[in-house]
Amino acid sequence: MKAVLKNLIAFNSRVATFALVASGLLVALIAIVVAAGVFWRYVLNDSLSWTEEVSRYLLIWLAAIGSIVAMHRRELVAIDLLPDALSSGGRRALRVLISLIVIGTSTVVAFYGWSLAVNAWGQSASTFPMPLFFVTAAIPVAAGAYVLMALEQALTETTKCDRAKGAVE
Amino acid sequence: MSPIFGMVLLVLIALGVPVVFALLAGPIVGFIADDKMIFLQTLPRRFYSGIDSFPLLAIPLFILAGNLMNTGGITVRLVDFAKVLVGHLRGGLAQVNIVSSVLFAGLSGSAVADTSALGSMLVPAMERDGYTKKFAVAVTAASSVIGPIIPPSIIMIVYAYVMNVSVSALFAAGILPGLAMAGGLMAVTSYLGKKRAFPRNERRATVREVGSAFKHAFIPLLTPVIILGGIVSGIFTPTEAAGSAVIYAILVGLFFTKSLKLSHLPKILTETGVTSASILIVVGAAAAFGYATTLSQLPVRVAEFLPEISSNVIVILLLLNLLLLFTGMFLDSGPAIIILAPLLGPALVNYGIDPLHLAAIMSINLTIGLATPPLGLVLFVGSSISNVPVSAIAREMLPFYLVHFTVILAVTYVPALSLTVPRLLGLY
Repeated sequence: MKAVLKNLIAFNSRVATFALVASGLLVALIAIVVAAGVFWRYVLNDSLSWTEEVSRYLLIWLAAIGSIVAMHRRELVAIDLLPDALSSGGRRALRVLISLIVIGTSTVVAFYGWSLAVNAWGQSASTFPMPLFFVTAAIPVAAGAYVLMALEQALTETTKCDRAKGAVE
Repeated sequence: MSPIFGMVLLVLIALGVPVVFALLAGPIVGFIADDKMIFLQTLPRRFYSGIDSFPLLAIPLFILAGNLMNTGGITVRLVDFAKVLVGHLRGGLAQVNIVSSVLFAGLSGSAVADTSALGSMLVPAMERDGYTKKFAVAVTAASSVIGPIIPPSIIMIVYAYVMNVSVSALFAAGILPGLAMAGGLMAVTSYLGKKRAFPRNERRATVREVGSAFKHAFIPLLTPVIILGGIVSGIFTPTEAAGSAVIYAILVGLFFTKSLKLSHLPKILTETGVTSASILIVVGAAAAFGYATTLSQLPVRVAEFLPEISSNVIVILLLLNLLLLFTGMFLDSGPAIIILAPLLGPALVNYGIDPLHLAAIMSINLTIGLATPPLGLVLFVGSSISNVPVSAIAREMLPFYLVHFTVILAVTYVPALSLTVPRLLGLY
């Protein structure tokens, strides 16, 4: 179990690093595309047809990818009053329970999200030719990553190993 | 559909499940319990289409613009400008803190950014000047809620999107309440200053010093003019204005203040991405949750039930504010507004409350919730930059809460406070 956890921790941290870089790039792309839309529309008086649609799709990927980092950092908005009020044993049990709820929820979203994405193969973006699969896939990708992150947290709490200790007790 | 999904949401949030998962788990349990498995496939679709929106692009762009301007040395110039304006008053630096918050509010849409940017600069300065650290943090936290009340405002973008009101009109609605709050906080500070003998700068800035500080702050201060002027005149959509603000902030930081380095960009971009994504997925999950809410006809039931409590608008608005304050004590403003607005909005509009007025009440009330214990993001940030415990900051803030609550009551019972500016500008 510890070896599995160790590999999972390493894998998740690589995923999070990649996601962090990708979210920075996505923000930059969003800014460039929106600014280009403004420039062409107001300065050159010749609106680009694709900027609105592209920026929306980038936003969806940003939400999906950036939230993986937030999840890995355990920074998602939550009310911590109950966990903070418990003894360390109770807190560990509660965290395992929360992780299991997150795993269950994310699995459902990943499963149905994947069929949503597959169904979108046949649909194309409206201002340029690209299957919408490449946008909707953001949902199952994010949900899949949430499952891995939550699994790490559940195992961390049950085996009492964590990232800081490098999975070694 | 049975309302079990709502109970699941509340229980999970109370347990400490991240809000985004609680919003998704509620409908999942609800659909399974009602044997409507077929609806499960709608959840990812709603989640997706909930984020697929051009107006929401303003969120990462305004956060990016704020982060760029903070690193770009613009904050320092705003504080210097505030110093020559009000530094000579009793409690000078405390007043400077409040006025800086107002100036900063026109650049940034987030109270947390305000607390961390102004707090890390002004709290040490105030301490050197003889203020207690806890008072310095308290005045920073109390004034930073002005940030999302004066436009631009992330919370208002979210509200406008969820409830389908005009972002521009809602932005305009925040201007007077934000200024009123600043005035109230300054009056209280001045009163406390006399009572506790706060330091003051003996010498008033000369006209030349004011002119020089203004010259330094002028270019950065054009940002709110671009943002607001562009939106209010109808030239820009809020998203386009946010995009323009980003480009302007980069140009100012690189070429005018010269304190923005290209090497700062990776960190600014990635942190903007993570902050924005955390907000956006809650908006997406709320769209999925909202679908279950609609199916359950819960808003209709609330609309039928509320008149049984009271048919009096004054009483209902008071109850609304108490509910919002209570929610704001525990929940971040974004998730709170996303959950409560669709549930309560239709019922309250039935009472004849103007939708824009309601938008202003809810946005401002829940923004103040960021600074109320036990859970308030602004208090946490203030505590982490100063090492003063949250409880001590909150106690020190008591006189300022009085101002916050007065502004809430004024906005609630004097609709003109929020509606005059949008009407004058022809936005509403």
